[in-house]
Amino acid sequence: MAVDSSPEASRQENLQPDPGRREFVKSSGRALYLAPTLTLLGSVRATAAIPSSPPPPPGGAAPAAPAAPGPNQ
Amino acid sequence: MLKLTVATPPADPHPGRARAVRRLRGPLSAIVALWLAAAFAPQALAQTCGPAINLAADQWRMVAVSCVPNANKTISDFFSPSLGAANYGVTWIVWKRVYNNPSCVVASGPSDCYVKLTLTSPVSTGDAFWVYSTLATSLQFNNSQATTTPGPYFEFPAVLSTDGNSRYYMFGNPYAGTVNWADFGFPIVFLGFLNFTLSTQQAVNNSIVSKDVYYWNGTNTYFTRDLTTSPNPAATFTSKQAAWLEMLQPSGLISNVRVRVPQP
Repeated sequence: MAVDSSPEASRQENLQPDPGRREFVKSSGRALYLAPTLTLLGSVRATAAIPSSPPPPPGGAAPAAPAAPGPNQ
Repeated sequence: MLKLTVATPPADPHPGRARAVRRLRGPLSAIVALWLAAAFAPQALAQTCGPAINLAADQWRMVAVSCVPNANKTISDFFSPSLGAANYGVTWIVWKRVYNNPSCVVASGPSDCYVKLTLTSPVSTGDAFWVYSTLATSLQFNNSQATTTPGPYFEFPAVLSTDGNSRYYMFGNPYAGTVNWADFGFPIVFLGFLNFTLSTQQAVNNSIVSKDVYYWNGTNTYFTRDLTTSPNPAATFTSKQAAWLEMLQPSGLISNVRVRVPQP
C-alpha cells in the first residue's frame, strides 16, 4: 500500500486535534464546575449533622450513655 | 260559570311498587349511613389521635405518641411514614429516656438514662421521645398503628427520690385533647397498706412532686409552668406534648407512687 508522505499530507495530520488532549480539557472543565459544588455541599452537610445525644433532663445532669445495648434498643 | 273542582292525584297504577319503596326506605338509609361512616373513618381517626407535629430543622423536639399503640408496633411504624425509614440516622433520630435500666447505671444517681432507639424499638402508650430532624418537616403518626384511646386514665409508676436528688420523668399526653395538670391523680400507698389517690395540689403539698413541670422550648432550654395553677391555659398538657415531671423525696411513710393522667 502506498503511503502518502508528501509535505501536504504531513501538514494535514498536524492540524488534527489530539483526541486525548481534547478529552482531558473537557474533563478538566467539568472538574472546575464540580469542585466548588462539592465543596459547597460538603459544608452544608457538615452543619446538618445530628448531635450525639439529646439535651440533658431539667436537673442539669448529663445524660449517661448506656454501657451496653439496653432492652429498648 | 266557573266550575271549581278539587284536583285529586291520579290513582297509582302500581300500588305494590310504592309499598316496596316504602319498605326499602329504612334499609337504604342504613346503607347510606354505613357508607358515609366508612368514607369518613380515616379522617375521624386522624383527629382522634391528635394533630400533626411540625419539626424545625436542626432542633431537638420532645414528642409523644398519641392513643394506644397496637401490639408490637415500632418506631418505624410511627415515624417512618413521615420521615422515611431510609433516612433514619441520616436526617432524623429518636431517643428515649429509660428508668431503672441496668444498662445505664450512673454512679452518682438513679439508674436513668437516654437510649438511642432503632427502627425496631417498641412503642408504648404514653411514651415520649426526643426527635431530631435535620429537615423542617411535618410529623403525622400513622393512625392505623394506634386506634383506641386509653381510658378512663393512663398511669405509670414514678419512683421517688431517695438521695435528695430529684428524679425526672419524661412522658407524653396520649390523648387527642388537652389535659389539665390540676386534674392529675397520684395514687400512693401510705404506711405500707393504706391506698390513697392524691390530687395534684396534695401531691405538691406532700413533696411528692415539684410544682414545676418542665417543657422544652424547642431550641435550647426548658421553661416551667406551675402544676397547681390550672385551668390556666399555660399550665395544660396538650395532645402529643411531652414534659418532665420532677419527683421529690416525701416522707418515708409514702411509697408506691403512680402518676395518673386522666382522660380529658
